Amino acid sequence: MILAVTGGKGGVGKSTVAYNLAGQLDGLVVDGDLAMADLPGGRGPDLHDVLADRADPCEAVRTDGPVAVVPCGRTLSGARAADPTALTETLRTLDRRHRWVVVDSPAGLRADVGLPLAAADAAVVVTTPSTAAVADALRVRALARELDAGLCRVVLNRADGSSMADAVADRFGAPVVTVPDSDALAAAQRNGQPVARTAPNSGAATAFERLAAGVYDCSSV
Amino acid sequence: MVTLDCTTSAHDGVTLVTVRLRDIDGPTRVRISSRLDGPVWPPRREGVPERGWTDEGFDGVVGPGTDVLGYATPAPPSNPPAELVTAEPVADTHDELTTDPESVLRQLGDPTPPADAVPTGDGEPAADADPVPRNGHTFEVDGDTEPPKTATASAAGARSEPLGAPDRDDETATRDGGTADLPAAVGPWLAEMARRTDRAERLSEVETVPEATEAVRAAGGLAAVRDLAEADDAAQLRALARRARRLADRRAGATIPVDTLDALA
Repeated sequence: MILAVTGGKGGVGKSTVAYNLAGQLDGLVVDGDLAMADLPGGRGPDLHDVLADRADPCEAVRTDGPVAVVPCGRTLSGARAADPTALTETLRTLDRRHRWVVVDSPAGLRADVGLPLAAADAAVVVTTPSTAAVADALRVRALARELDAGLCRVVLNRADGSSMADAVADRFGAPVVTVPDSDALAAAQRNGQPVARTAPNSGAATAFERLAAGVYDCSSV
Repeated sequence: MVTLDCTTSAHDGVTLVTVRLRDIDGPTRVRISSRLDGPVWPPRREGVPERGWTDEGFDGVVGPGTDVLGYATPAPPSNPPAELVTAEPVADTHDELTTDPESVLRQLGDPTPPADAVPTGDGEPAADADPVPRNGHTFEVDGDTEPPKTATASAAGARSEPLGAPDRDDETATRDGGTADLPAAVGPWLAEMARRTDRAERLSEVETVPEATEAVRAAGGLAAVRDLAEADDAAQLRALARRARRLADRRAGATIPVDTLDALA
């Protein structure tokens, strides 16, 4: 199953959510930010190489970290040599090998956001409580709908309390999972670890468990 | 009953064809075939051909009412430039999904960074950046057809490309940037290609019998002229340029951590 983690605005925590969700699902996370990679890299072929037809998708999967990752190159020349339309077939190939393929999408509404959504079975939209972030997330939700990616869950990131959750669920028409603002989560992400491993009892770790359970529900529909 | 009329206009060796479709009762799938003797250069958005365009022409849903289509071709105008092959009414226009990758790219915009943004080895943005807005693979898919802007752009700009329009008064070996700084295996081949291009140009310019005699003699006789005419030098050079550009992108992207490796050794 291909899940696109998307959100419109930059800095709302898409990469953190994608990484931790993949960790919970024991799946594979693909860094789909072709121009500004976020997830841990390492040596070996990356998504740029795959999209430029220089490597097989399976060759780019890194399994040496706590979460299996397909990293993305960080060079502009690599981004320029990559063919974005090859992303669809790449994700499908990975989907045949992995039960869960979680795509960390870039910010914005360009084709690098649309292509994962077009390939995805479902979308997880990430937003913070700020009005601007919610507005952008609603735009992405509209795009996801147009591209036939059902909205599975909305992640309300860095939200304290559930006062906003109901209103957001109402606006998006999908269940909301609230992830609290958390130093443990930020530190885990900086160190390339899922928070469930570094702080398993934290509120953030519990939130990602709930998110993973929600995704399971979506997949069984 | 769909009626079709066409107009053409020629500019700088490129023919622009406008196809007007009238009296379309409802949504209709039409197939329009170009009758001009050259490749169809379809309209593109974000570097991707608009929906429905094929190598031969257009195959898609139009109407109702009036619809206008247009394409370009390097072939000279003739009459009629295009014909309506089939026109069949369809139930509705929403039969085509928009989730195929090309549609998504066309609708949402190509996220690829522009060539100018890619740094060259000395840390400066690329000075002789690829004049084609989309990177090469779009055109590779189309075979050897190149959009009109490539020809004008390389003539106007990048002298570093061996495809650039050559000057007439220089020595063959030096006017395309010379071959001295190229690897031993490539330099002589490019120099030979430059000589052949020179010869072909001279042959194409002859107007009088003495000129023709001299040009044929210089080219090595009629058999050599025939060989030269039949050889697809342009395709070979273009293939080399594409390959070289891709390799250059790859090479530019691979940074070798010499200091780290040194420290580890």
